[in-house]
Amino acid sequence: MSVPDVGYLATLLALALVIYGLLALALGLRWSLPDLLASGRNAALGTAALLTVAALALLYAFLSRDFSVRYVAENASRDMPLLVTATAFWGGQAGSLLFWAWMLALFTALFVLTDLPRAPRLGLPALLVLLLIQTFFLGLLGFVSSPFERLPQPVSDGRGLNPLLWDEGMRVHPPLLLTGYMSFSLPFALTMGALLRGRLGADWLRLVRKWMLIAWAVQSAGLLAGAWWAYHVLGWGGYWGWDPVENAALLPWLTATAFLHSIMVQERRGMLRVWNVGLAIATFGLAIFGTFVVRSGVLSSVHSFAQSLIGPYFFAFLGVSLIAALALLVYRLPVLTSQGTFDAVLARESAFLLNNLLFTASAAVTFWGTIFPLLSEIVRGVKITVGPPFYQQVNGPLFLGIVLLMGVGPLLAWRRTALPTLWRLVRGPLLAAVLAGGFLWAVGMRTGLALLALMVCVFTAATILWEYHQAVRVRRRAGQPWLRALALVFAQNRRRYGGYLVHLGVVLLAVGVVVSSFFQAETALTLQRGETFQIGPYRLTYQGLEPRIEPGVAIVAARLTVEGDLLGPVVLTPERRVHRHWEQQPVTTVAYRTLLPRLDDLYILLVNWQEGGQATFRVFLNPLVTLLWVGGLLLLLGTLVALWPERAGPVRQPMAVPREVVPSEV
Amino acid sequence: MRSRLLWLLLALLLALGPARVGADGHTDLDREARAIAKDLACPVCEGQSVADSGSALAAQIRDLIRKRLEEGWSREAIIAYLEERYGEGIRRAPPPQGFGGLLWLGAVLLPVVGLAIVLRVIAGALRARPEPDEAPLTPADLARLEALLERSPAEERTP
Repeated sequence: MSVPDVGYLATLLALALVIYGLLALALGLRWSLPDLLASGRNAALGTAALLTVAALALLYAFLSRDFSVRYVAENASRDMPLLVTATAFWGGQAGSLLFWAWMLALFTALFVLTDLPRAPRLGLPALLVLLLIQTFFLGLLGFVSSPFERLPQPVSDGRGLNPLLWDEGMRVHPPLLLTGYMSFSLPFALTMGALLRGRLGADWLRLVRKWMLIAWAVQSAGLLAGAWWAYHVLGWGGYWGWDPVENAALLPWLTATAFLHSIMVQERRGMLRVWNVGLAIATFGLAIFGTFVVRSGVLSSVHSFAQSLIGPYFFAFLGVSLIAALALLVYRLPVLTSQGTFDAVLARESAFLLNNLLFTASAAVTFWGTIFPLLSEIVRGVKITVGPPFYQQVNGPLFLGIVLLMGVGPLLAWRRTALPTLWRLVRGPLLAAVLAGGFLWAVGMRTGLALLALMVCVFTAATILWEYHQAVRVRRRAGQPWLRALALVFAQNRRRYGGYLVHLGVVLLAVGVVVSSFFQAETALTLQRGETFQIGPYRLTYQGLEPRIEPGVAIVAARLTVEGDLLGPVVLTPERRVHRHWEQQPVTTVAYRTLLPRLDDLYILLVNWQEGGQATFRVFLNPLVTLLWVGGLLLLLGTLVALWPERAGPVRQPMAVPREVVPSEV
Repeated sequence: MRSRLLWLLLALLLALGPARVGADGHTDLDREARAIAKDLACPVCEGQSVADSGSALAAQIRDLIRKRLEEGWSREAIIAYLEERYGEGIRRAPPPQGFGGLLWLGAVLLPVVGLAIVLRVIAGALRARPEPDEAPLTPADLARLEALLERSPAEERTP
């Protein structure tokens, strides 16, 4: 038996094991049979082992360039370097599905090993739901779209991966995003498990928050990696194009962000239970939708839907999941009544409600814009485009509102805040914002919207920094040295101060987005060898062309020197590459450098060249794009701080009535 | 010491700041042409605008926009002309008239409806607030409450 057959067999065995596990758990739960429950748990672990075997088999098929396997022949070729060949694993639909299922199995195993023993009453029904989801994916892999399918005749060389994907971005972005989509299954399964059991207890709150935060972090990393990849590969000087696939990845992230905030209201005040369950369901639905959209192209045209083999299955699965989840929610409505009440309008609770409004509204309008072309094609038979001009106009104000709320919200106390107290807290940051606005005006910024957005960013950054300052000052008064005080601030309330780090990251991101989209400069020009031109404060000199050949690729590079950077002259070499098998699609390799001290990205593309060495370039000056990456890293760091397990200590108690007044069992 | 630091900071900021605006030395016509091209989808490439695409067709359309602008055409006239040639899909967002109006209507209505719901929730929760002069808990209530309080965390610990 050859390796791909082993992989296929492992997938089928995993499917059988998952179905066995489902039955064992269902029967074990129904009649409280501990042996069956333990067996169901082991089935979940076995699935993880089997899918690891399957994934390694596919990896081996790629690395050994086994072109008798259809999926390998379609996504790899002999010219491709080994590392690129390995990333072809997720270059197509079947491999992406296998990766998804494999990650689900690993996360499920992790859940079984770490959380299940401590919360079996919630964990077992949640595991049941996870195995149900896994059944669907393994069914697809077994019988509809298998990466191990053989070709009738082996070919001597494969078609290879689209050259746009021969890039280090391919190593991080797709696996992160597939894992991100997958990981929203865990909060969903926990929520369904809690509904099956009949109560949203403290164990549910703790676990759902943890897994949603993990999923959110992975999805954030995936989105950021995607933006970075688009920026350095696609060569249009931007990082986010509001295209359907990007939107699909953003949608579950938006609803998950809303959930992470509204869950705090339930935790502290016992309110918004139905809403939180709804958000967990919606997030999962959007993640499944995204998984499907990513590999099918259905949103650019109705017609690709018919071509997509897995389309109908996905929509059936999505429909059944959502209907079942909502039915369960309605059935359990009586136990989900809200226990807290509002004491005043001006309170943390209202800020969270507003936060949820902004995030869900943004998700709703983005979803609406994403499916609108599909509606147009179905209803009128006319293809239309809904692109950045739409999303920027509708999401811009919503995002600005979110940044502003990030500044005000944390200052409001739970239950009630007196207006004078709030005023005392915001007047400093407001002054900072006004000063910043005046400064930007003085140095010549006259774009009203950009000024407003940047002032909001400064306001929010100031409130967050002030919060840190206060926290550190208290500990310094108690005699702690400065650094130790800061460390203590984080150690003593990881969630709060980790959360502020995430907020600071978002503010940096926002500044980067605002400045780079309002003040991008772009020019196209043809230069003779040795000719010089000026863009902003930088002087560029074109030195000439340098052609070279690498295995399977012909490359022409242009050499330019740049003056104006603080650290001395910089050399940039934009290239054009023609890959074998892909002669119709030459790839442009962007050359860019972040220049000090202004943090401008000088971003150069080689468009064309003539015999005499004359060359045409497109040059972008993208200010402050670096802040996106810095802000993104800060956001991930903050999430890590918030996720870091607290040392066993006093359990956070709700403020009002205890969360569970009436424990009811299934 | 402190004020000197501030001055240094200010000097640094002033050195960094000087007008990013107009750094590219473009004319108004260039800017207008680019703004129009930004709002048009390149007909032959997925997801890129005419302004950003490197395709030959996009370059042709960019030249055409510039020429028409020089001839004194208005923005809308140029877009209408291109729409006739390449179909409605060339606009990167449909105009707010006709079928496209639905898109914009939805984009306005969804947040407004959401806001209405949030306001109702807040109003409802405020009304449900218990009166402060409510009858105090009876000893029987307290006993029941205590029993429940003890039960619920304990239940979490013992699976």
